[in-house]
Amino acid sequence: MTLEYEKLLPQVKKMVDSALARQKKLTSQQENITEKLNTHAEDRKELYRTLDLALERTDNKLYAARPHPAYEHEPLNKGVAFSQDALPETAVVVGADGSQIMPDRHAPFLYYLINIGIIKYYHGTSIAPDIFTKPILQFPDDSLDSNEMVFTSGEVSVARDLEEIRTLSDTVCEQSNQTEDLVLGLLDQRLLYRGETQVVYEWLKSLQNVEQCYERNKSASLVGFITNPGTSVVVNMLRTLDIDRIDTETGEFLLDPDTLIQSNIGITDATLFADLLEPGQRSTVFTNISELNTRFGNRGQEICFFYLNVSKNARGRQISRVDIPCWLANDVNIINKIHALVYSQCKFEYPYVLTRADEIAVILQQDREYFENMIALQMGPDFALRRHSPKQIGKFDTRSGTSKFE
Amino acid sequence: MTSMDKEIGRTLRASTEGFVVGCRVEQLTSSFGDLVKVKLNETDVVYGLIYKIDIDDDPLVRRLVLLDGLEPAMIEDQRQNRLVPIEMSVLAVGYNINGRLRHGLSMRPPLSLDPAFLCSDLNEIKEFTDDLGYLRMITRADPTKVPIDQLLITHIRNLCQLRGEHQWAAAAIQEVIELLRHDYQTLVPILETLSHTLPQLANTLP
Repeated sequence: MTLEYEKLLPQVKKMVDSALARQKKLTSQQENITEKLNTHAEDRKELYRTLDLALERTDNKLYAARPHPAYEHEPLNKGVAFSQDALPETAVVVGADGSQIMPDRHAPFLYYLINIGIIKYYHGTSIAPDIFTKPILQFPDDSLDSNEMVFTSGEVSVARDLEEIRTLSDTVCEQSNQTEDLVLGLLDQRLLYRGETQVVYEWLKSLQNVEQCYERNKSASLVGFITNPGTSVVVNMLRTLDIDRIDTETGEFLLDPDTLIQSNIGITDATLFADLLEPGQRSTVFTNISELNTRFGNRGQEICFFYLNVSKNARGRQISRVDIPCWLANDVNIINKIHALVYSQCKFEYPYVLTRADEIAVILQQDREYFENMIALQMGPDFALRRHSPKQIGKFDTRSGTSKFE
Repeated sequence: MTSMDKEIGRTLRASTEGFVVGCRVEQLTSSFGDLVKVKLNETDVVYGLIYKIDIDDDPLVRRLVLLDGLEPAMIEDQRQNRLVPIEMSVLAVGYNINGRLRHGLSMRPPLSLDPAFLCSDLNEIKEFTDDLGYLRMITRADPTKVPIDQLLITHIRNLCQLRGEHQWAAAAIQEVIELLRHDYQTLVPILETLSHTLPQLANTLP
């Protein structure tokens, strides 16, 4: 049975109406937020005051951003242009990405596979990049209770994320020991990683690893690149400017603390900066304000960020976010280099090394089939009769298409 | 194999009529019209002439080609790292089985990943091309796949320079005239081109 499109058509029409109505409301909200940004573009003191007040009223649960003090010379409503002078003549850009085969209890063998792809790109040279992969197979051990081992896809995704940043930070450190050039590690996701305490702890170890290398040779760095960021921490920062406003009718504050904890009011930072940043320009640098970043900060790994218009076309408005450890953001010169290097990588509005890292890491369906045949062959006759579950075989049968009489 | 033989790639796919050799960019030393061979086992080889070299693209290359500031490292990445082999199509023209050289189709084609070599030993080239019977394999190739006229012209011109013998070229041209005597549309342009590229042989041309 396929989708009955005629039944969906009325719902699609409703969806379009809703999107248009929402857009109208957002436009009005955005004008208000942009006006606040323009008014306080160079008035950081007032912003710091309202942010501190908001933190107090929300019991430190505020989700917002604070302009980084090292960049006070940069107005909040103006972009910092891409500078060819800031672009290092030579540098090493390391991209990492991961892929996985999720565990499948309907498959003949229980396992999961993570494949990490790494590319070392020698910017400013004619040297072909070095590429390598790191495949990791996980399977039940020989203890009887581990036969019951069932990995959830969420756990596998976390394991992959941790392996990505671990491999990337190791590669960045190793590379930075061999060169005086800037070594920039690019991760295809946010640096402010959410998860269980132990997971966050493991994540932080990788950031600490890079920091230690940076302290040794001042060349190691690592940033997270986020396309189409959905966060609105800068918008929330601007909303705190209303914190003193009182409703004349009720006599209560207009902005209740819960609203400031709310992470999203519809307008994203990307929408805000799409109107402000020209292609190649970055925003000023901000520090993320959140409970999670406080935990990161307690381990010396507070996360800062800037927005970047990665478009090449003069009218392009593709905004991405670049997450940076704050110990790196404290060095304005290195941030200018990173800005230039990331933008030079974004030939197609996305870093070249990340496109390639994905290509290197990806496990295609045919790879999976080869790999499962390899397992079956190695397992030998003792396991030869293992098959997919009847449920899975039924799915194969119904989804494999029809055949013609020939 | 002789010590002069240089590996130019490995067989991707093959039939008795010919085979396709895949190679990396840095291996691309052979050219259109070259005599190459693939080793079937310790003693036996299949000979062929390169009649087509293909360089495929993919969506990423198509986007890169439009870039204004394409960086050298990206070009090297495409050429050396990405899994897009250069493909050389080879027309089978002869074989050597148990030390006996023959012109024609071998009994079996090379297998996938058999290494292919450029024939660089002049003695071997002479041995294969002294007898001109293999030219029939070119003139009888499928014209929708093989550019017969260009292949003959390039091959005769290259061999003439390599062997340094005008007599060989003159004999080869006579053989081509004989083989294509019923196909003037193919023959006449070949003779015209050869008379320009090898003017010293103009006297031997009709």
